[in-house]
Formats: sequence, C-alpha cells, structure tokens
Amino acid sequence: MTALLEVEGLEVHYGPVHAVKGVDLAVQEGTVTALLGANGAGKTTTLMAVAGLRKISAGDIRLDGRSLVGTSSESIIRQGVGVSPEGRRVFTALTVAENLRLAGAIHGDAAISSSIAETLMERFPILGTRRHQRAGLLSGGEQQMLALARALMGKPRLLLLDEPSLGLAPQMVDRVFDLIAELREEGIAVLLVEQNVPLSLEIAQEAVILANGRMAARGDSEKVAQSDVIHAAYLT
Amino acid sequence: MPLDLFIQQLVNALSLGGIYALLALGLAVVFSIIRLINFAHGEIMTVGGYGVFFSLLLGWPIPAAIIVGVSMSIIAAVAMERLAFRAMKGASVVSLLITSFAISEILKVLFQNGISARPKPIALPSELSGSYEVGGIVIGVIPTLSIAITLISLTVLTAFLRRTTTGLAMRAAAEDFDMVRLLGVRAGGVVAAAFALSGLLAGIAAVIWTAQRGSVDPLMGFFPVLKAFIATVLGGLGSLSGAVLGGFVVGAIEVFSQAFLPESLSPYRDAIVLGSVILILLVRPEGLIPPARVDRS
Ligand SMILES: Nc1ncnc2c1ncn2[C@@H]1O[C@H](COP(=O)(O)OP(=O)(O)OP(=O)(O)O)[C@@H](O)[C@H]1O
Ligand SMILES: [Mg+2]
Repeated sequence: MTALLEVEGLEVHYGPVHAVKGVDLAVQEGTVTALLGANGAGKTTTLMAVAGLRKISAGDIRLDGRSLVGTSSESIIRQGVGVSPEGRRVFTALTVAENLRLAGAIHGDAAISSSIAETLMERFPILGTRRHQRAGLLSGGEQQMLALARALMGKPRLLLLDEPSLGLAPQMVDRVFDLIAELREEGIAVLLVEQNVPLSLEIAQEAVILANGRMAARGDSEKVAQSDVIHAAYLT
Repeated sequence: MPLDLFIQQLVNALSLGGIYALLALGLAVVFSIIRLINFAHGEIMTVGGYGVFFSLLLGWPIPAAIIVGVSMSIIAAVAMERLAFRAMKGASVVSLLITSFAISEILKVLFQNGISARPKPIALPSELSGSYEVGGIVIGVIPTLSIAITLISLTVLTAFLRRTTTGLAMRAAAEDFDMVRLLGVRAGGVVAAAFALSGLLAGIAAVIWTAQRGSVDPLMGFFPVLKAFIATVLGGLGSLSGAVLGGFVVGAIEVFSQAFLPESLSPYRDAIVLGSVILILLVRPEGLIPPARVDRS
C-alpha cells in the first residue's frame, strides 16, 4: 500500500549550501512520522520542500502517489495539507479570529469556515477567549496553539509540524503532544519535526534521523529509539 | 491668525492631504506585499485623468466620466502587474524599482506624443466650481466634495480590509507572504488585488485632482505621487494607516506653509515640506506608524 506522503531521494540546495542530501521518508495515513536531528540538520528544509516553498534539486515528493514536484504551495495545501511552521508565524497584526478566518478561506464558504473555527476554539479555549485580540499580543504558547489551530482550519489529511513544542513550559509541551496523539486518532497523518526526542519517538510510528542533511537512521520508531544513532546524530 | 482664514485653509489642507493619502495608500498597499515602490503610480493616476477628459469630450455625463476614469486607472494598474511585474517575481527591490521607473517614463512620452504635452482644460458645470457660506466662512464645493469622497473611500477600504477574505489576505501578506501561501491562498490573486486596489485609489485621486485643477496633462500624476512617496516614508514604509496619516500631514504642511509664511519664502515651499518631513523622521526614523513585518529569506 502506498503511503499518504512519500519522499524519495530528496536533495535541496541553498546556492552553494547542500542542505538536504538524499532523504527518504514516508507518512502512512493516520500515523505520525518523526523527523529528528540536531540544529542545522535539514529538518525545516525538508518540511518546506514538502510544502512546496523550497525548490528541490533532485528526488521526488508524492502525495497519494502523485508527484508534487513543481506544484505551487497553494495547490499542495489545497490537496489537504496543513502547516504549522518553524517560529509559528502567526499574523501578529490580525486578530486570533482573523488568523483562523483567513486559513478557512480555502473552503470557499464562510459558514463552513466559521463552524470549523468555533469547533477549534472549543478545543483551544484560550483562542476563544482572546478571539478579538491581535495575535501579536498572545504569549508564545498561545501563539503556538493558534498556529496549530490555523493549520487545522483547512481540515487537512496531512499535518506538517515544525517544532511545535519549542520554547513551551513543560505542561504546555505535554498538551501539544497529547493533541498530536488525538489528531492521529482522528485519522490525520503527521510529519513531526521536533527537538524533544523522547516524546516524539513515543508518539511516532516511524522515525527518520537526519545528520548534516543525510539520513542517519530510518525505521520503526521503537527500533530507532534503541539505536545509538540518536546520540550520534545529536552530538555531531 | 483669523479663524475664518484658518478654517478655509484647513479645508484646503484636508482636501489636498486626502489626495496624497489616497495615493500614498495605493503605493503602500503594493509595497507592503511585493516590496515594489511603484514609480509608475503617477501615470496610473494620469490615465484616470485622461479617462475623465475624453469621456467629457464625448459629451458623456459626469458620473459616467468618473466611472470611466476610475476604471481606466484600475485597468492600467492591473495591466502593469500582468505585463511587467508578474514576470519579475523574486527580483530584487532595485530591479523592480528601475522597471517601474522605466514604465513611468514610457507612459509619460506616450501621453506627450499621443495626446498632447500641454494641459487639456476640462469644463466643469458652475454648480461644482462655486462655493457656499457657513457662518460667514466661504468654502468651495470641490474641496468639500473632495474631503467627503476621501473619507468615504477610506471608510469603505477599512471595511474591505477587515471583512473580506481578500482584505485579510492582503494584510497578512504584508506581514508574511509565504505564510499566506501556506494557508492555501493563491499568491497571484493577492498581488493582482493589491494592484487593482492601488489603481482604484489612484483613479479616485485622479478624479478629485482633475476637478480641482480643471485640466489634465501628462505630468498631472507625477507631482502629487512624489508627495505621496514622501507621505509613505513619513508614515512608515509599508504601513497603511501610516500612509494615510502621512498624506494628511504632508498636505497640511504644504497648505499651511504656503498660506502663512511670507510671500518671499513661497519658492521654497517643497523644500519646507521635505525639511519638515526630515525633521519628523529624525525623531521617528521608522515613520509615524511603522508596519508589522517579518522578513524572511
Ligand atoms: N535560507 C537559507 N539560506 C542558506 N542556507 C540555509 C537557509 N536555510 C537553511 N540553511 C542551511 O541549511 C541547513 C539546514 O537548515 P534547516 O533550517 O533545514 O535545519 P533544521 O534541521 O531545521 O535546524 P533547526 O533545528 O536549527 O531548526 C543549515 O546548514 C542551514 O544553515
Ligand atoms: Mg528547523
């Protein structure tokens, strides 16, 4: 059976910098794949290549078996992909509700969009309470909740999450991982980039470890957890 | 200074500042999204002026002439984006700037050779060119209408930016364009909408300006847009509310310095405007209302 997302032999350059060197990964429907590695390993670059924002120099990226190479970001998102990017990137000048409304525009129907937004604001009560406040006034953790909710507005089949727990208090970190587990149970596939290795390996079915742009390990997350590669990858 | 004179000048300042505000807003909308300082914005305005002129020449009623003028500005702006700037996606700020400068020069030459280098007069009905009296103060009909049109335009625009999806996308794109695309919003549509909006605002400015001057000429857009550039920098480059405020401030400095400074200083009017703006920028280098923005590679 083909996976929902398949990445094969991915290569990405930033001018002379060879950031991603032959990465393979897959995300099966309703599962989490963790993409781990030290700072600068190429995780964000890989994720942004999948989202269509980074030009790839070689390899293939397939959603439902169909290649996404050369497809615009907008079209990729419209095929059922939600992104919570590195650094959250909420629109600080827009209110919480406006951030969600813009993300819901993909449905082309204000009623559908606002009903999804209401459901999400029940799921993230803090967003409901602060819906009319500018997103720039939210705390880091609250902005992360907004970034996640915004990624869910399009009712994605595949979520791309880049360090959703970065900089959060321990309690909030647990909330984020609980949420990812819930989403997985709801049938959403997740490609999860994280620095929190233990929690990520716990929640993921598959894991890929990157080191300096190369795959250092790939496979069943339990097996990867027991290998030495993890330590090696974070020490280089 | 006598109160009635002050109020008359205030009306002048608001009507001139309103034109600068509309133009500055159009520049800021486009700049905030694609980092293009559109030098050809003045010619978009001029196209609108000629639209009004030729409509009236054909004997069409004033409302029709206004609609034609504004529509032609919108078409000019959208065409400019399609034919020139779209192909330059990802180009540097400087290349975009130089391209817009070239477009501006080409259009000016076309107007001069294709229409006329000299101003073409426009005859307005007497009801419009007259004035009225309130409490002993004489106020012109055209300046009053100008202020009303400006305020209505700004109100409608604010509602558009707050309520519509396109408006939200434009505000969001000003902060982080790639993130807007990561929500599945089509980038091309947002850029085209920004140009259309800048054309609409330039068209409205053209109608008001033409009514105030009573003539159109190839350079009619050039000078007010120069002031509008100053206004956008003063307000904070890329900030929409800043552009509006900057427009009114520049208009006020211009009108009041002309009205109340000695006659001998009048050749220095533009120098006084620029000097005042520089003074304000020394205190607030980011502009009066700096934009929220994320710069990414
Ligand atoms: N815009 C860019 N221009 C040039 N080089 C870049 C750019 N973005 C990333 N790189 C380089 O590409 C490599 C991979 O970066 P990437 O951001 O993908 O790493 P990462 O694994 O996400 O790291 P982190 O954990 O710090 O977020 C790094 O060497 C980085 O310096
Ligand atoms: Mg990263």
